[in-house]
Amino acid sequence: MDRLFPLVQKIVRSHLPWRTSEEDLVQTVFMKVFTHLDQYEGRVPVEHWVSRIAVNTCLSALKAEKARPELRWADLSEEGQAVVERLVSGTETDGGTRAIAARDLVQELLARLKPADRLVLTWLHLEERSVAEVKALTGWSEALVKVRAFRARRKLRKLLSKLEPDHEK
Amino acid sequence: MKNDETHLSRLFKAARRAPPALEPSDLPAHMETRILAQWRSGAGEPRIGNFAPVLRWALMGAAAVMLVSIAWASSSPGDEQTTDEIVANYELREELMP
Repeated sequence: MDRLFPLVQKIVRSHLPWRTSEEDLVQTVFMKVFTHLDQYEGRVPVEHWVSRIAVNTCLSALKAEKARPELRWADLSEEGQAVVERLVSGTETDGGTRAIAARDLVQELLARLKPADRLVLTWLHLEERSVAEVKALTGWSEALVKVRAFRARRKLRKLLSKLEPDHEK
Repeated sequence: MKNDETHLSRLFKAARRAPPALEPSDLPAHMETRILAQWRSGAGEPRIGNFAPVLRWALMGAAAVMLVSIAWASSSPGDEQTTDEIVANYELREELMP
């Protein structure tokens, strides 16, 4: 459990549903691991098997999460608004606080997507994992990962464009 | 459209540079105790787990009985009388009744 905890914690933190306790979800993952221990055949490293359980648990929790209202310009923090303005004007957004604001904004936007879309974009574009890694984590085919990522990105693009100041006017 | 894609790519790039929100921590002792206690109490086991095979067989049995009943009902002659039987019954009644 000591060895697997950082791995489970990382997955849960990346895909934690809104208003859900990280500790509760980690506990749920470990309970599932213990309960289904007899199903582990040893064909893959135990970390892979536990990762898959953690991902599926997060996916179920995200599915149970209520849909969030559409994100509007007025809902953004000052830093968030500054990030969007910089994106539109073409100014760099790489500063320390700007990076945190950008990450928060991405999380807010991702939270408006379907759980699977959210997961795939987080892995591919935030954690910079490969398609093969996502395939191993989810059990989806490579084509499904790519199609899902493409569609999710399109949705996210639309949500971001709605936030831009010109669109709001 | 192309602008939107550029904006999104730049947003992701900026977000990736953000430091992790929380540092990974060690497994808290209270959580380990809680998980082990819950596991030992069997709370993680599905409650109908042991009865699942019995329920499955009961369901299959009920379905089989239902199918046999339907087959039997559709193949066995019904209670409806043919015209000849009705006429014969009428004649019999006529003969027996005063």
